[in-house]
Amino acid sequence: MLRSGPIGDDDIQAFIDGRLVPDRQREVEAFLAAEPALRHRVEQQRADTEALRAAAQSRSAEPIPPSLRLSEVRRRRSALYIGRYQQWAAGLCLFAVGGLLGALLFRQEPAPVAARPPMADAVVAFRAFAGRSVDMVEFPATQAAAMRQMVSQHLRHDIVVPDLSAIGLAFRGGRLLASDEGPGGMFVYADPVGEPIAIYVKTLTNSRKAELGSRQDGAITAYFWFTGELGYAVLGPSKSPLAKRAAEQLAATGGKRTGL
Amino acid sequence: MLGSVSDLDIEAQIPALRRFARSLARNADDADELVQDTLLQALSRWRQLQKRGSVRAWLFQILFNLHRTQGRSRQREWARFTHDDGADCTDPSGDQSQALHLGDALSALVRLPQAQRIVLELVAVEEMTYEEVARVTDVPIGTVMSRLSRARERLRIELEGGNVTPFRRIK
Repeated sequence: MLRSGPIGDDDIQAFIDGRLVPDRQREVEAFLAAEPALRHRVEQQRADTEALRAAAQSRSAEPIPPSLRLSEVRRRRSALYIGRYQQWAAGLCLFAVGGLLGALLFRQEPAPVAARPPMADAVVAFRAFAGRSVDMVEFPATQAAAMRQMVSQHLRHDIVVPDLSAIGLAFRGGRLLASDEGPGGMFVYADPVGEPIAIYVKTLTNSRKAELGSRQDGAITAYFWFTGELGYAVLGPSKSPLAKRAAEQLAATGGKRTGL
Repeated sequence: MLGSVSDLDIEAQIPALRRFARSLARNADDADELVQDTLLQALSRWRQLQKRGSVRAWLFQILFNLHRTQGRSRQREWARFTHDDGADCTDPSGDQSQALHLGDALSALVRLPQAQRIVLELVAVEEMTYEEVARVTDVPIGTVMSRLSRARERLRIELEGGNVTPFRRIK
């Protein structure tokens, strides 16, 4: 121990263990010479330490058991590792088998995109919201202006709510919808006998143009056309001649006729 | 075999490791198991060993760590039985009947608190440097020195007073 300055307890401990450098050793000896009681204590403790060492060394002559030989420990260690690798391998096999089974059992054909008929979403919306109860609308007829603004904002196009009173269709109200391709809207009318007829408009993810076509879906007929960025449909009961007339009018003017 | 350290370097330490393990563990079987685990870890972690000279302190450090982590649950169990969980109480792990046949100093040593006893053993019996003891027991060197001082005082009291042990079991 290299230290200078006043004698500390750590110096005393190092002195007892004989670990001081000679200079410091002499300093501690001089210090202890002036403190007989402490010196006596230190000598006793030094004797204790030596007795301890001697006693411990006298009993440590036992031969090393074979289990503590390094060769034996190493053998045990490799056994341990092989066991661990086997567990890993087993786990990996199980995972692979599970994955394969899952892939075989639950393999699904990708849903054919083209198989869905055009304007199927319009038919669904018509069945859900127009149907018999013409009053199931978000915006009643009195709020046509607010409706028009709302739909135009969501579809990012200037959408008009067509005035079809000339052919005998009374506007009842409309609503915003989510279509297959983005935001959409539906305007519901009632013909003179109270049958619902609706105009459906939606934005298109894939821009396309198409002339007026029609499709029958159960008791409903959908007349539809595509203007590039928007898709239109007129929906109504299959026997209704007004739906067809409305569709022909609207398709001819590109939807840009005077609205309500 | 282990880089710059040979099997012989490690095996040379086994008697000292067993001695240390026996002073930590409650019986000879537990102690040898502790040594075996120490060697096992030493074989897996020999890359951490840097200097050839410190093989012994390194092995002792592994052993002491293992004892602390493995023995934690066991000691908690033991403390529940003896209601002895204070930091400075007499270490219950020493086998006192065995100690009776040994020298006075050794039998008195068994009655020291474990933290003090370990430091005194490592310094006096194993002749480790104070720095090595600090590394093995994972405490600052100042703590080693104060534990050493208190251990010696306590040992003296045990040797002089026989059964009179003023610091013991204040309940």
